[in-house]
This record gives sequence, C-alpha cells and structure tokens, in this order.
Amino acid sequence: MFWVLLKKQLLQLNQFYFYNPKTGKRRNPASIIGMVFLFLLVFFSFGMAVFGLSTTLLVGIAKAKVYWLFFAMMGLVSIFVGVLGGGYTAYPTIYNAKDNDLLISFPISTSSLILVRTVSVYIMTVLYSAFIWLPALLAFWVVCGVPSVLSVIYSLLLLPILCIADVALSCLLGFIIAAISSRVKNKSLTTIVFSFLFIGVYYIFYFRTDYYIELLTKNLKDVIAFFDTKFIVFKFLGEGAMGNTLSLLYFLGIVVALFLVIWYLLQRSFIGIVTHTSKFKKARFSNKDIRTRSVGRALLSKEFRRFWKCPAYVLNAGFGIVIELGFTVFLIVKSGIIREYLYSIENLNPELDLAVYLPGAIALTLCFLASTNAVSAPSVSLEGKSIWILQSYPVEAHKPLFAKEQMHIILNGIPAVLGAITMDIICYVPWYNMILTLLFVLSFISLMGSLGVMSNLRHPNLNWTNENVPIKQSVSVLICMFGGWVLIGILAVVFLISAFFLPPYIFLSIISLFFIGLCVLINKWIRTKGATIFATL
Amino acid sequence: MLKISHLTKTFGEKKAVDNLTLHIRPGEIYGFIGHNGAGKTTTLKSVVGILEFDEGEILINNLSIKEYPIEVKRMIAYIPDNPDLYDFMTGIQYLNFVADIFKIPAKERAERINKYADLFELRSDLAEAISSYSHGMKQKLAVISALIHEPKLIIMDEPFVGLDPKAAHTLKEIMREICDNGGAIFFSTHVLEVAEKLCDMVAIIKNGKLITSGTMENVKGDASLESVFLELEE
Repeated sequence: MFWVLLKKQLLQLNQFYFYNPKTGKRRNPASIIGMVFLFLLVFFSFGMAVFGLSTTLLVGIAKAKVYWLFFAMMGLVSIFVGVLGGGYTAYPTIYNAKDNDLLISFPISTSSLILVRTVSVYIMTVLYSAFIWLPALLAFWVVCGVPSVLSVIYSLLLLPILCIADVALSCLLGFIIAAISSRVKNKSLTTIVFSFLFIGVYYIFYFRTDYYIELLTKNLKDVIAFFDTKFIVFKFLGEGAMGNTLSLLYFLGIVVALFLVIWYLLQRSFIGIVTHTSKFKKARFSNKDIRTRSVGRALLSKEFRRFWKCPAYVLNAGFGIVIELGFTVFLIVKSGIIREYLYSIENLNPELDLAVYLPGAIALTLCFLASTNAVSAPSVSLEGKSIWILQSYPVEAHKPLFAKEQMHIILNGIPAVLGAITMDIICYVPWYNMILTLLFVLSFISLMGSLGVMSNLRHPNLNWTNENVPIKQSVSVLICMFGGWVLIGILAVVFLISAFFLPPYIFLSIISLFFIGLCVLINKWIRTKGATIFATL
Repeated sequence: MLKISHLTKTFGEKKAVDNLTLHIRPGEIYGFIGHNGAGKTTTLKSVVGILEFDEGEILINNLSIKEYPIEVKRMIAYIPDNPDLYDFMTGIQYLNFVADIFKIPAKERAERINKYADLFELRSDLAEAISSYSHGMKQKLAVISALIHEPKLIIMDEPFVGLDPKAAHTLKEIMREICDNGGAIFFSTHVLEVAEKLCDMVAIIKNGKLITSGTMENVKGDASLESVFLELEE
C-alpha cells in the first residue's frame, strides 16, 4: 500500500514539475532548463551569503580548533531553516490535502498515508537545508581544508539525515497548527498568526546574526560546554561531519527515533483532527447581509476575500508587506540614528552629495521589498476549478484580471507609500523628489502587478489539490520575483552610474515613464489576448 | 431560443461532439441524455461559452455566443455537474457576488434570495462558509445563484445529483414555471425517469453524434425511455 501511495505522490510531483498542466503534455526542454537555471540562481545567491557567514564563523572556531562546533552550529541553522520551509508545507500537505476524504475512505493505513505525505515535505526540507549545509561545507573545506575522505562522505550524507529531523519537526509544527485550527472557527487566521510568530522569531535571529557570531567567538568555551551537556545531539552531528562513524550513527539513531515518535503521534491523531467537527455557534443570515456593489468592486472584493482566507497566500505573497510596514516603523523609531549616520557619511566625504543618491536609493529599496510580494502572480491559477463561474457570467474577461492587478497594487502600494514618505521625510528629500519617488515606486508596483497576471495567464495551473501548488510552486511567481530583483539590480547599476551626471529627478522620471509605458503595453495584452486566454482556460 | 448548428469539438484526435444540431424553443424543457463521455458536458460548456468549439454555430435568441458572449451570458444561467464554488465565501457573500455581476437591484435581489433560500431550505446556512457545505448544499446554492437573475435559458449539467427529494421536486417545479413563462431549460441527466416525466423534448447523444431527438412521445413511443436509450446505445 505504501508503495502505491508513494507512486501516486511522486507521479503528482513529476506531473507538476515536468508536465504542462493545461495540455497534459511534457514541458519542453527549454522550460525545464529555465526552471533548473532559476533554481541554481537562487541557490547560488543564497549560498554566497551563507558562505560568507560560515567563513566569519570559522575564523574563531578554526583558532580554537573545535571544528565539530562549526558543523554543530550550521546543522542547527540548517534544521531551523529546513523547518521554516517544511513547516509551511507540512500542515497543508498532511491535513489540508483535497484528496484526504477520498484516501481516508480507502483501506489505507493512516501510517502509510502520513509517511507518503511526508515525502513532499522531505523534498522541500532538502531544498531549504541544502541552501545552508552545502555552502557551509564548501566554506569549511576552503578555510580549514578537507580533514579526510570519510569526513567528506559523512558530511554529504548528513544532509539527507538532517532533513529527517527537519521533516519530523516540520510535521510536529504542522500537527500543532492542525490541532489548534481544528478547534477554532477562523482557521486561516490561526495559521497566519502562528506562521508570523514563527517567522518573527526567525527574523529576530537572522538580523542579529553578527551579534550572535561575535558572542559565540567571545564565549567559545561556554558554547562548547553547552553543546557537550544540553545539545549533545548536535555534537554528534559535528563529530560525524568530521569523520567519526560512531557519532554519525548516534546522530542518525536519534534523528530516526525523533521521526518515529512524531510519526506515531501524527498517525494516532490524524483521523481525529481531519474529521473533527467543532460545535460553533452558527452564523445567522439576515437581510442586512444583502448588499449591492458595482461589478468592479464585487470582483475586487472577491480577490481580497480569497487572499485573506488563504494562509499560504498571505504568508507567501503578503509577508513582504509586513516587512515593509515593520521597516517603516523601524525607520520612525530609529530616525534620529539614521540622520546621524547620514550626517557622519557627509562629514567623512564632503564631496559626496547624498541628496543625489538618496531619492533613487529609497525608491529602489522599496521596489526591492515590493518585488518579494508576488500577489498577482498566482492569482489566475488560484481560480482553480471554480474558474467556470467567471467564464460563464456576463463579465468581460479582462475585468477579473484587472481586479487581480488592483489587489496587487493596493496591498503593495499602501506600505510602499508609507515607507517612501517616511524615508523621504527622515532623509530630508525635497518635495519634488518625494513625489517622484512615490511615482517610481507605484509605477513599479503596477508593472509587477500586471506582469504577474500576464505571466500567470501564460503559465496557468488550475489542477491543484493544495493551494500551496499555485502559490509556491509556480513558474509565474518565480518569473515575477526574480524578474523584479534582476530589474532592480540593473536599475541600481544604471542609477549609480547616472548619478554622476544626471540629477535624481531625471532618473526617477525616465524610469517611472518606462515602467508606466511597459505597464500600459502589458495591460493592453491582458485586455485582448489575455482575456481570450482566461475566457477559455 | 437556443440553436445549435453543426457543432463540432475535437480534443486531440477525438471528436467529442460531431456535427450536432439541436433547436430548443421557448417553453421547452429539453433533456439531453447519453452515456458517460458521449459529449454532453462538452456540448453544454460550448453553449455557455466556457469551451471554444471548432465548427458550427450556437445562437441564443439569434445572438452568437462567439460574437456576443456578454449579451448572451446575461440571458442564460449555467449549473455545472459538480459546482466548485468559492469556498472562501459564505453563501450570502456568493449570492451577493453573483447578483452584483448581473447588476440586480437591491430590492429584487433581497426578494429573490429570500424566496429561493426558503424554497430550498438554505436560509439557515447562508451565513456559513461554503467550505462547510455538503455537496447537496453547494448544489442548492448553485441553483439559487442561477435563478436570482431570472434567466431566459438555463443550462444544467446533471442538476439533480446531490439534491434531496424535496429540493429536486422544488427544482422541477421551478423549471416548469420558467418554461411556462416563456423560458427554456436544456439539461443533461442520467436519471431517465426524471427526464421522462419532466422533459418536453429529448435528445440522445452517442460518441459525440446525435442519434435521435424529438418530443418525448416520438422518441420513446410506448416503450420506456430507458429501454429506448439502451437499445440505441447498443
């Protein structure tokens, strides 16, 4: 039975990655190569940051010659990141899959069902953990040399072993969310709150990485003692990576035992959670609930309802909004320090005129933050099997598409505008440059909104059983996010070069016009060709 | 009301619908029956404008679905066989959404929603999320959403599946009432007894081709519709 389910799961994954969901035919080699290239690009970019972090960490550790500590620490980070990635996948994959009812009605053991579901989670954790572990390994070999062949083999083997711990902890997190969600009415809100808390903790650690590395280096003996006593499992990991077979086996044993315990917990509780019916007070319908809206507002309202009711959508496409708002609050709180910092830069470099650089830098920073929110990019796919509603109703096909774009602009525009105004005030940017900064940012956001809709029309996937598929595993999301980052990167270079001879308002104006022009062209395509595609998807 | 002329739709190498011609007049309840995969859903989706067809013409009140899709869709309503509705909405939010699309004024909207909510006994569930509805409740909601804009032509794909007997009876009465007032119904079903009692006209499709059509009396004669169907399907 397990192998039958596993085959179905792998077929599903294979279908998603290598087959066009619309035609059912295998994707052409060029698009597969494109996907692989994008993945490698992300891996390389992220890997460079981890490599840098690892080399910083290795400085103190290499001096003290406690090499196992490096692997213990990176293993811990790897697990943390793996759980962050796998946690998002575990809850919907295990508890919210649309074929749960069907499979539960079959003579399939819960243990097999859960084990197979963890395969998808495992694959996700391997990807996330690999982003940490592999660059860390490389950094170690570069800085400290290769201890032995056995060390190389074991340290590579440790990646799939670490991911067993990742998947166990991700599934535990999924279980906790599911157990609480099944007992509250607003499940979406519960999931969102939990996720934000988890991510908040992650980012607190992330932004204080330098501080923790410094703390570690100064208190190495205490840290070693801590791992020796409280976190010995990670010491086994560290020693295993250095070529110690017994330590590797101990670590493997502990991780497998952890997985088995959590697997047991999940299988015992699974049916109870997915079939749990809570006794909530029923909402009462009254005539006050009957409201009229224009067609445009009805379509926009529908998009927002879907957004707020879907935790995966909020967390993946909207998390950057929280970052932007947090960034704005940070700017307000630290405005004094920021101003002092800017004064000190000007004092150190009297020839440097920050007024030349600030507007563009502010605009590009906000655009970069906004480009992480791919709100419109999965929006067509999210229509899923209910697309027949808009196709069969008397509404021009471009209107729902523009509603998706509008939602993108509103969700991204508000925090961006607040951020831009705050930064411009703190940095004493003249009013005309402030207006142009706003224009720049809003035109970029509009462009990304329309690009998201267009790319999703070109790469739709309506056949999903889990909302994570169109939101997280989507070509259009990748195109928009990376396309946005590449565009910002290019513009940053152009800006730095042009700052020598062009006043900032010219750069901002020209690029804003460019964005607006591109947006108009894309929207024209959406209104014509895009609408035709949508009407017959 | 509805003229389907030489409709042909091919999926890859398979002709799902092959040169189908049907005419549904005002006042008729037209049943459309056939084996699984015969081409019923393809035909219905083509009529509604969800599926592009390769050849032929579909006219609703002399307007082509291809050339005047918006105008045609204002006159019709569609209920698919397995209505995937917006799970993220409540029942009333969905009905408001549909009513907004069809620009139904507040007063008429309230009257119709209350009327159909009571008829289909869905009033107590309208404020609940659609995600909590059973299949039958979703079907009822889909039916209500199809009726609130008082369409001239209703296209339904196996509308009785999932409906309890009372709701099915209510739907049949509403169908009759619509046709008595000059509207028309074109629906597919596997429940031949219902088709036999309810339909004025019937068409039988097999492997994409129309094999017979006409009044119920002419098609079935003295035999039951089931025996006629089984004989034609051989």
